[in-house]
Amino acid sequence: MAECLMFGIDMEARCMDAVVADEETVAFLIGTQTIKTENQVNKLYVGNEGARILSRSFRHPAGEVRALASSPSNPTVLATCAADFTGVEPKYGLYVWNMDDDKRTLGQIGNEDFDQYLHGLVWDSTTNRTAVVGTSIVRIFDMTPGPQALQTVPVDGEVFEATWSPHNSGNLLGVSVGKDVVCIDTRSAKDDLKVASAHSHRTLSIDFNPNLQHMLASAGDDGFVRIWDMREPSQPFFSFHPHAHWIWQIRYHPVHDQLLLSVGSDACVVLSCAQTVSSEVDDLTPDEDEFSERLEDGELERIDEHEESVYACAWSVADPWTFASLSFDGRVIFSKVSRKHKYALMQL
Amino acid sequence: MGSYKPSVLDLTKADFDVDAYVARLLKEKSLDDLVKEEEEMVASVRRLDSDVHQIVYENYNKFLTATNTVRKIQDEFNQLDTEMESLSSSMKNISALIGDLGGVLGDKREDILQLGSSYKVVKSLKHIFDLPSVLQSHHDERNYGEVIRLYKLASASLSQFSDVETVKRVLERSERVYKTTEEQLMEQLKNPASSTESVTNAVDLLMNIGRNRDEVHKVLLNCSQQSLQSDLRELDVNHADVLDLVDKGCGSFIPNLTLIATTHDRLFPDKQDQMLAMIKIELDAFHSLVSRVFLSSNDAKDCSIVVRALDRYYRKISTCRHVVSGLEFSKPTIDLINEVSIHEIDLSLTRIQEELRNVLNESRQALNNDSKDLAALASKIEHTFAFQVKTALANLLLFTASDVTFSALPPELFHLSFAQNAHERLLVQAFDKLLQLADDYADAKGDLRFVSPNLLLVFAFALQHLSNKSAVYLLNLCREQFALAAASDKLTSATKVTTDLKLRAQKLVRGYAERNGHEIGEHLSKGCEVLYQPSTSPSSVRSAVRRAVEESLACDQELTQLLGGESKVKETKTSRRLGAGGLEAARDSLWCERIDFHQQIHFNKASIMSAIVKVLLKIFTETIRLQTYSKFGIEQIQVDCYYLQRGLASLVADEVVVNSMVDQALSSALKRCVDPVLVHPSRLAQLCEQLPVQLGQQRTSSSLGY
Repeated sequence: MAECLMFGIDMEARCMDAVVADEETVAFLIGTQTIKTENQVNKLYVGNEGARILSRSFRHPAGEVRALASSPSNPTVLATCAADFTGVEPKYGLYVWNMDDDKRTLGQIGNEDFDQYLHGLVWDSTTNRTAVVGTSIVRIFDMTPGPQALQTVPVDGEVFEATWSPHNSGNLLGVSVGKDVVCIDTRSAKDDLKVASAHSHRTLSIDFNPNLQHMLASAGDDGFVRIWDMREPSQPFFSFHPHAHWIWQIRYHPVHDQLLLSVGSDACVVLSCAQTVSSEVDDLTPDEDEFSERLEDGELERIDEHEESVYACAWSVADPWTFASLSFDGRVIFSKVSRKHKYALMQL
Repeated sequence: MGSYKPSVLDLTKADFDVDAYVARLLKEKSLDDLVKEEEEMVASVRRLDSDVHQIVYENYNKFLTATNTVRKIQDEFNQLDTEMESLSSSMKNISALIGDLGGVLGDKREDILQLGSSYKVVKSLKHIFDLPSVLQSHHDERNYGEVIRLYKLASASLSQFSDVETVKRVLERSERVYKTTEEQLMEQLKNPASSTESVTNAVDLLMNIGRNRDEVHKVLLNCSQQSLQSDLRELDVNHADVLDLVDKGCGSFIPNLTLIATTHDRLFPDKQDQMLAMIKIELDAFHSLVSRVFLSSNDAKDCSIVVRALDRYYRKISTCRHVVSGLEFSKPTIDLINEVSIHEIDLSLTRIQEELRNVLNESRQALNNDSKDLAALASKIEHTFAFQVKTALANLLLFTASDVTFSALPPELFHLSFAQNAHERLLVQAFDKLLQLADDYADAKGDLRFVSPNLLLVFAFALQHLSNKSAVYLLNLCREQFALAAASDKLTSATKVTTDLKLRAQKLVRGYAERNGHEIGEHLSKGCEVLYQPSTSPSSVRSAVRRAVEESLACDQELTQLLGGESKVKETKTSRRLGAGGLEAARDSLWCERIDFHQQIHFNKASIMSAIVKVLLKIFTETIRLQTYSKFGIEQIQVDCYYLQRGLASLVADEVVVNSMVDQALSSALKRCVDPVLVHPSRLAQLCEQLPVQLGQQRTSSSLGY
C-alpha cells in the first residue's frame, strides 16, 4: 500500500462513518469511546491537496459514542448512539447533532432515551429513517425533523449491526442477530428472510450488495466473509476467509460490488475481490479485449498498519477509490485502491 | 604294460616263444612268485579247456539244425518238379483246343463286329435319354462342375438334332437342370456361410459359363460386405464386456474379413482397390464399435481386462495388416491405444478422488463418534492416498508390460506421451485433487463448515507427512516405473508438489487452531458475560476461566497424542506486571507489541497451541471491551487474568505473547472502569489456589448493558 495516510486520535474509538452528504471532500466522522474523559466526534478530511489528513473535533456532551451515522442529506448533521456513565445511573440514548464549524461543541437537534446499550445505527437516504439496534431490539425512527419513533421490532438475541437494503425503497432492513442474519420488512415487521447460523458464534456485520438485489455479505467471529443469495439461504453462495479473528465490519464498494472491505480484531484491513458473485460476473467471459487484466477472486490488498483491533471501515463518498479504517487505539488510516486494481476494475 | 612287452613274450600272440618266456620268468621272479605263477597258469589252462568244450557243443547244435533245414528244402523241390510237369501238359491241351475254335468261328467274324457297333449306338442313345436324370443326380450331389461340363458337351452335339422331338425334350429338361445349377452357384456366392473353396469354385464356374466378370465381382463384394455387417450387428448386441467383444470380434469378424480379402485377391487381383475400400469401411465400423466399448468402461479396476483386450485387438489388427496386403490400419489403432490409456488414467483419477472423499468422510464419522486416535486417522488418510495412487500406477503399468504387444511400438507413438500422462495427468492431478479437497475443508465450503476442528488437524497432518516423505517417494516411483527422466522440465517438480502440500497443511492447521481457539474463547466469553458488576470483592477465579484453561490443556494433550512429546506443563514465571506491577504498568501495555495472527504455524505442539491461545485470549479482550466494570469487576478480571496467564503460558512457544495479551485484556478492562483499583499480587496467588466457589453466590442483579 503505497498511498495511505495516517492520523491518530488520542482516545479509544470504535465507530466511524463517511460524510454521506458531502460529495466534494473525502471526509469521515469518528466518535470516541471512553468513560474516563469527555468524548468527541472528529471530522477527518483530506486537505493540503491530498497530502495529509486534517481534523476538526467537536465535543460530544452525551458521553461515549457507541454508534454513529451521518445524515444522508445534510453534511453538517449526524446522529449518535451514546452511553453516559458520569451520573449515578448510566444514561443511554439516540441523539441528533449539528456540527457548526465555528463552535467546538456539537449542537443537539433532538434525542430519544433508551434503557440499554445500543450497538448500531443506520440512516436511510430514501426515507430519511434511522434504525437503531441493541440487545433484542430494533427500533425505527423518522428523522424529519428529529428522532420520532415509528416502530419497534422485537428480535430474539443480541443485534450487532443493521443495514438498509438499497433496493427496497427503505422498506427492508437487514440485521445480524446472534449467529443469524435476518431481513425485516418494515411494512409487515416480519423477519421473512433468514440465514440461520451464518457464522460460528456471532454475526458481527452485514452489508447488501449495492447492485444485486438478493445478495448480501455477512461477516462474523469465525473470520469468514460469506455471501448469501437470500432466495437460497441454506448454503452460502460464496465464502472466503480474510481474517484470523473476528471480523467487525464488512463493506461493499458502493459501485464495484466485487470489492469488499473487511476489518477485524487481527488488526488487519483486507480488500477482497469476489468477481464471480458480483454484478459484473458476465464480464468474466473473455471478450475481444484480451489485454485488460481481470481481477482474480481473493485478497487484493492487506493493510497491516494498525496495531490494535480494527473496528470500523468505510468507503469515501467523494472519491470511490478511498477508504478509511479505524482501530481501537484511535488510529485512522485513509487508503486508496492501488492503481493496478483500479485500472483492472475500470477495464482500462 | 602289454604295450612294450615284446610279442615273443605275449601268450596270446602267434610268435610266442616258450623258452624266452620261461627264461624271463626264471630270471625275474622269486620262488614264491614262480609257484604262484604256476598255480595261476594251471587255473588258466583249466578255464580255457572248459571254454573250448562249451564252444564246441554250442556250434555243434547249430550245425545239426542247419542240416535239418537243407533236407526239408530238398523235399519241397521234388514236389514242385512234379507239379510243373502236369502244368505243361495242360497248356498243350489248351492250345490244341484254341486251334479248333479258330476254324469254327472263321465265317461269322463279320456278324460279330456289326453286333458290337449296334450295341454301342444303343448304349449312347440310352445315355442321351438319361442325360437329364444324370445331370439332376450330379446337381443333387452338388457336383456342379460336372453338370456344366456334361451339359455343354451334350448341348453342343445335340443341338443339331433339336428338331427331333425326343431330343428336344431331353435338351429342355437338361437346360432346366442347368439353369437351377446356375442359380445354385449364384446362391453359393451370396451365401455367407459357404466356404472359400465353394466360392472360388462357383466364381470359376460362373465365369466359365460366360457370366459377366464385373457382375460376378459386384455380387461377391456386396455379399462379403453384408456378411461383415451382419457380423458387426451380432457383435454390437452380443458382448459381455470389452474383452468379450474383442474376443468375439477376433473370432468372427476379423477372420471373416481376412478370408474375404484373400479369396478376393485370388479371384480378382486386378480389383483390389474396390475390395480394400469396402473392407476399410467395415473395419472402420468395427473400430468405432470397439472404441466406443473401450471408452465406456467406467471402473478403474477393470484396467487389466482393458489392457488385455487392447493388446489382443492390436495384435489381431497387426496380423490383419500382414495378411491383407495394402490394408493400412495402424494409425487408428495406435490412436485408440492412446485414447484408452488416457481414459483409464481419468478413471483412476476419479477413483482416487472418490476414495479420498470416502476416507475423509469416514474420519469425520469417526471423530463424530468421539474417536480419540488422531494419529491413526491422519495416517489412514495419508495411506489411503498413497495406496490409491500406487494402485493406479500399478494398473497403468499394465500398459507398458513387456508381454503386451503394443509396448514394443516406437516410444514416440505411445510410451512417451503415456508416461508423461501417468505423471502429469494421474499423479500430479491426484495431488491436485487432494489439494482441492484441502482447500474445500480449509475454506469451510458448504456444510464442511460444521466439521469437527480435529478433522482439519488430522487432514493437515496427513498432508504434512505426505509433503515430508511420501510425496517425493510417489513421484520418484512414478518416474522410475515409467522410465521418465527425473529432471525433465515437462514434468511438475517435486518441489512444487511438496510446497503446495505444505501450504495446504498450513492452511488447515491454521483453520484448526482458529476453530479451536474460537470454541474455547466463546465458552470463556459466554461465561464472563454473566458477571461483570459484582458487589463484592472476588473470592475465586470464575469457573468459565478455569474451564478455558482446562480445555486448553485437553487440547494440548490431544496434540501430544498426535505429535508425541511431553505433555508435562513446564514451570513458568508469572507476568511481571500482573504480579508486581501497578496500574501504570498495566496501562503501558497499550503500546505493547502488535500480536501477529498470521504467523507461520509449525507442526509442533507449542506452535499450534500458541495460535489457539492467541485467538482465545483475543476473544477474552474483545468481550471485556464491550463491557463496563465496577471496582470489584476489575478485581475479578485481574484474578482471571492472573489465572489465565499462569495456566496458558506454559503451553505456548513464546510466553511473552501470553503475558502481553493478558496485559492487554487487563488494560482493556481498566479502560472500561471509571475508578479502577488493582488487587495486591499476593492476594492474587492466594485466590487462584482456592477451589472454585459456586457461581450463584457471586451473581448480582445489578446488571448493566448486555
